Amino acid sequence: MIKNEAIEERIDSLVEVMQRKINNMPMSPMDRSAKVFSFQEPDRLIKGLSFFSPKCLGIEDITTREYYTDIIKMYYCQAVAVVEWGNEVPLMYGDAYNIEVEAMGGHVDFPEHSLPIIKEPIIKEPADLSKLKIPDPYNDGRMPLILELNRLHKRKLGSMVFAPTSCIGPFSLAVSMRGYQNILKDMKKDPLFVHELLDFCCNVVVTYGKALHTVNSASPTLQEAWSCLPNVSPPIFYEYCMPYIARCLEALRHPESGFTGTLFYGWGTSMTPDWKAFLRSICAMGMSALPVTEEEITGIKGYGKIDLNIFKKITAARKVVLLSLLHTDTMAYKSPEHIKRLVKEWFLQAGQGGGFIVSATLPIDSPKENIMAYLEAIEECRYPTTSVSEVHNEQI
Amino acid sequence: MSDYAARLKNTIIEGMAEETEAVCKEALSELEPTAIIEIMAEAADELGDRFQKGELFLPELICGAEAMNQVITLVTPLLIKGGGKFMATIIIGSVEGDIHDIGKRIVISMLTSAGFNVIDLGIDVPAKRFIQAIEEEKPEIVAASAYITTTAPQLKYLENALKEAGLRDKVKYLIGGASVSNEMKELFNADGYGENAVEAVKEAKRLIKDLRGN
Repeated sequence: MIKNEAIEERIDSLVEVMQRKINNMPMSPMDRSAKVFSFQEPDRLIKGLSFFSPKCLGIEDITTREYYTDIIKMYYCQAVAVVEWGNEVPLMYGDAYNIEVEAMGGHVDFPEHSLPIIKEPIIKEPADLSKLKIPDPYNDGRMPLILELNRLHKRKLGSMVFAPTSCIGPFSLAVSMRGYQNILKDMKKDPLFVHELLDFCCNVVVTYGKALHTVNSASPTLQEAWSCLPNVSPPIFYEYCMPYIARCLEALRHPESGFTGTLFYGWGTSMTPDWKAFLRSICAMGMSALPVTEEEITGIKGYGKIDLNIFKKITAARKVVLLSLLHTDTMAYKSPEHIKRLVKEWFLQAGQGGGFIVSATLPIDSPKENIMAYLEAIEECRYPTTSVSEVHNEQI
Repeated sequence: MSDYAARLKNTIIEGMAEETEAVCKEALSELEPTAIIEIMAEAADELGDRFQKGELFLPELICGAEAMNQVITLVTPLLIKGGGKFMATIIIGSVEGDIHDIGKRIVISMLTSAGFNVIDLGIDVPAKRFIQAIEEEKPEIVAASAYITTTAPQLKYLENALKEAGLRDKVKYLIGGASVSNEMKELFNADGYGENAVEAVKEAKRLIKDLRGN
């Protein structure tokens, strides 16, 4: 196992390299992010690369378990992604769906080739809820580590690169604590219990989220995959997800920036009869940024197809930044040309006026040429969008 | 349709597990187990159709599957006792590292209602457990699911394990799950891919047809 002193030395070297690089950049990653979030056009799109294991970046001397449990090693991997790969959105959190449940006593497993997982729900019977207490962000589980990770970023690359942090959203936390099937049964048999559970979850999210405010200048991203369609139906979304998510977003509005954070993940808007109306409802929850997945842009994997240009107009009208996400299959199995074409097409459809990001998540088996294709395409997506449009049309 | 048939179909579609169990018990006094399975298959088809049309979402499918499980628990022993035959045997499980079984549960209910004997290995199933179960149960199909993108490569590892154990030619390999795509069918050398539960049943039937050459 590599020692942390050696890793800290590597981090410091990376910081030095980044400082030199910044001096030669026409616009720093931090300034680029600021422009995007204030709906101004930067010089080009932001590079957003996320990964779940050091192996995704070819880092072989750090295990997945070490990555998630040792913040020096996690930060080093994020710094490598920034300095060596050009990522402009390092992530200052670990396995965001587990941190809160672990802090309340849940047991986390760390498989080498997958995300950490919690196998057993901590609420086996509704009565178990009353035995739980709101975790203390400064003492329980890995919460203190995530706070320290954010402090570490502030000391190292923090002045150069914007790095969001994250916590789980209230509905997804409820599902993690109780189990998906159980919560569906509870909705039929004991809806009041589900509302009590969600109220508790909001208190957990807000307590941890406010602690994250003290170490990060942005509000935390709320991870809410479980409240997305088709995991829930629209009636469940309106009764059990929307009010609680909106409450957490508002409670976590950052006192200085006024931003409320990103609401992750793909929302399945294309599955509703009127996706534009559903999207407006989602935006009304008050997030500062919202993803749209490749599945919904291109209509794959059983999703419907949205019009990205109109989607962006709707989100921009609410000052919600749009994050379009390339699918992991695309990064792993499609050609570099395909990746480049998608990035440019999306930029042309939705890039105008800023407030738009194209991001990629790397599976372990992403070919290097696909990662490079993504990065090159982003470099070529320069403002104004018309300049790319001319080049793109010539290529077609 | 008899009163029992209409009630049974309705309680399944509405996802009312306890009511389904009660109606099924009553219905067994009048209807043959095979007739009850047919009613369940009709309900499964309707749930699947409405899901594909975007009228229903996963929660309705999950509750419908729970209701179907009540029927399966009551009727399967009677079918076996009465000498009823299954179309084929399928071993199914979520791959190692994957603890999701939402889609798998729906697939199991629908496969059972379509006449398959389904042996569920559960979640987070290592390749060696799949191998052991294939050697013991001699199924026609092994089905594996991966819900999250990080566990999808396990489907390839399982295919390698089947080859190494000398079992690849003895079973058809069916893959599915939210993180799986049709392209992975080729990449992971699978014989079939089910984009959803309805497609998984169609694929399973097709593989059995291939296997038997009819």
